[in-house]
Amino acid sequence: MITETITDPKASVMALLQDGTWPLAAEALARTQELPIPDRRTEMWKYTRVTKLFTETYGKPLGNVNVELPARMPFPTTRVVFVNGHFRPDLSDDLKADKGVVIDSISKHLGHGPLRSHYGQIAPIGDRLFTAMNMAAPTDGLIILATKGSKTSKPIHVLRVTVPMDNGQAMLIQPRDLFMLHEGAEVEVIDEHISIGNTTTSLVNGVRESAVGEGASLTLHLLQNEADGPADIGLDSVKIAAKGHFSVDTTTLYGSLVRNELNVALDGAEAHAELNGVYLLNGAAHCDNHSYIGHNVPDCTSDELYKGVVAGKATGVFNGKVYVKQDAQRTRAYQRNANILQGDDARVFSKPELEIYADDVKCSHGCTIGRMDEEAIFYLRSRGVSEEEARRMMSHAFMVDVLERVANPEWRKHLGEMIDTKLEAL
Amino acid sequence: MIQIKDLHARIEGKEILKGLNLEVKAGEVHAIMGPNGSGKSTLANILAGRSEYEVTSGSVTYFGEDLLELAPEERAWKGIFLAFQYPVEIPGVSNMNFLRTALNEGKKARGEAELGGKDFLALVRERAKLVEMDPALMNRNLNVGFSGGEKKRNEIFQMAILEPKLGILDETDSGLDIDALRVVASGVNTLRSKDNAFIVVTHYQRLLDYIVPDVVHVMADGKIIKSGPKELALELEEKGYDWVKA
Repeated sequence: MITETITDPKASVMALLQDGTWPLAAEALARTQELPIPDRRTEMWKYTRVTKLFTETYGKPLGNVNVELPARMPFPTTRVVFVNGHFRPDLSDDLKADKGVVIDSISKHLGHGPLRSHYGQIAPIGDRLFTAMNMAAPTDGLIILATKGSKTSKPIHVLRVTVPMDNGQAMLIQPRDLFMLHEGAEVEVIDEHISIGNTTTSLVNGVRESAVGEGASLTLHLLQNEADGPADIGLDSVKIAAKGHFSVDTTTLYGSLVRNELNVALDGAEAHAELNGVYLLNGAAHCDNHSYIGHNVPDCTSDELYKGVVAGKATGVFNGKVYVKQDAQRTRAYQRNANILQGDDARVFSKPELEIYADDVKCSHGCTIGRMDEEAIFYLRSRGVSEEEARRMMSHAFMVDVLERVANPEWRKHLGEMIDTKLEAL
Repeated sequence: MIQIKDLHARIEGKEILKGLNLEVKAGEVHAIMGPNGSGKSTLANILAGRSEYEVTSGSVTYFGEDLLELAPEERAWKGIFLAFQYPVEIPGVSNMNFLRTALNEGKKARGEAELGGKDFLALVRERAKLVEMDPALMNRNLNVGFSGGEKKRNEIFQMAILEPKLGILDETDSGLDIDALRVVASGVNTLRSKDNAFIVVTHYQRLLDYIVPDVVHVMADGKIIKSGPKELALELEEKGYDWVKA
């Protein structure tokens, strides 16, 4: 007789998620138990291996540790700081400066009616294990509630810092945000992830839900700058009402395992979504940009441009899907992914997808994976530009069109400088 | 200035240059003519340092130094300039930024003072007139959306800024109408001095009406098979290349 011992690979994670007090926690815990860990047979996760994340024994993160924060952004922002997922009012700015805009720790608002009507609805669990895990026991997160016609006077800079705990244990940090923009509201957020000290064994598993109301505008700048940082898995789920505008730029400069999932629903006529991404990877970095744009009603537009330079033994993944429903006539959807590979060990997997059921649409998609244009490099060198500088110029030139799509000039300048610095190190 | 001795070179295993000899002194203009496939452009590209070509034997000595040992940018810093037959379009790199970087890297390498923004602009304005270049093109991306003639003018304009000791023109006349040809030639003539030299690679005699050479060489099958005064070009035009080969 053969005896089999079946051990649940999720056991250590499950142990941490028990007895959650947040809305929908019990249901989420049950789903966490049921859902399998995605593996190479899971289409959504084909090129990103996560099984190893479940071999770690995580502890609950502590936020009350001393941290030396980096310099502020070189332009005015309202800074909100989370340390290991926990809100740190002592390190944050005055969050009550903007009239009509509530910016706060979400955990203080769990009983709030409007929260209950959106929470867990924009990013339902479906078959997403990581969303279920997050919802079973979120650490904390940011709520932004922008009333009708309100506006943030300067970008909200959400700085999420991961710092090792005193006992050195790996942490499971689960940020949970909810942004609600009422009619005509305008909100701009920079969401920066950094690691201070080595936190490579930890896992950040974030979920953010955003509701962009009629004629409202949400601009997100996501910056992953995690040298020696944790695995970083994030889902942004956004629904956009009529004439609403959503713009996001995602920049990944470091990350051992980064997964950026964007799920955008264009739910009202003339809604617009713009998705831009830059990934500059070297070493053993892995970055997976996964997007889904649903054109659910007529007359919406979406435009997506992701560009990456992948060097060393790094891996870049792009999987973008545009879905046009049958009655979503006059949709315009553009999607492009371009990659430069450096060296023999760098890898890129690119999968642009269009699924169209309407007949009156303008859609395009495409991807390129190539090497640096050596003819151009020779041209520059023959005029006296050193090889190093020529390569830097060419990489910069490659990224220029993504930067040109960033509307905020201050952020564009800062981002351009960070990109140039990183390109020099590739 | 430059001595090329018994130069053999190949690309992808195919031998293109088969024992080429050439000496150019300061103050001279040499024209290299010859039918397609004779190796004219190969020679021009090897002198500029294009790495696809493999030099299998022979030597190139430039101001007493082994030129073949130098990287393309080092050659540029020491005064070699190749005007491309097909100038490359580079989106995202501005003409001006690129040229200022190229100029100042060269100055730095030679231990000269780098040019500030204001002085550089003044130089650009002055030299743009030489080739009657539209100032609007200066701020555009490098060669992007330029017409064939504008690209060639831009090559000569860059040459005027960088002031090389040895300018190599690789079929700069191809695809140019007569007005553009005149402008390009007058640019080169203005730059001519007793201290610099030019190698003008061309398929047609036409350009040599405007840039009058001191010596004309005829290339065939990877070698120079005949050299002579400027009148040789006219004779070639009249009698065709078969005449020299015979």
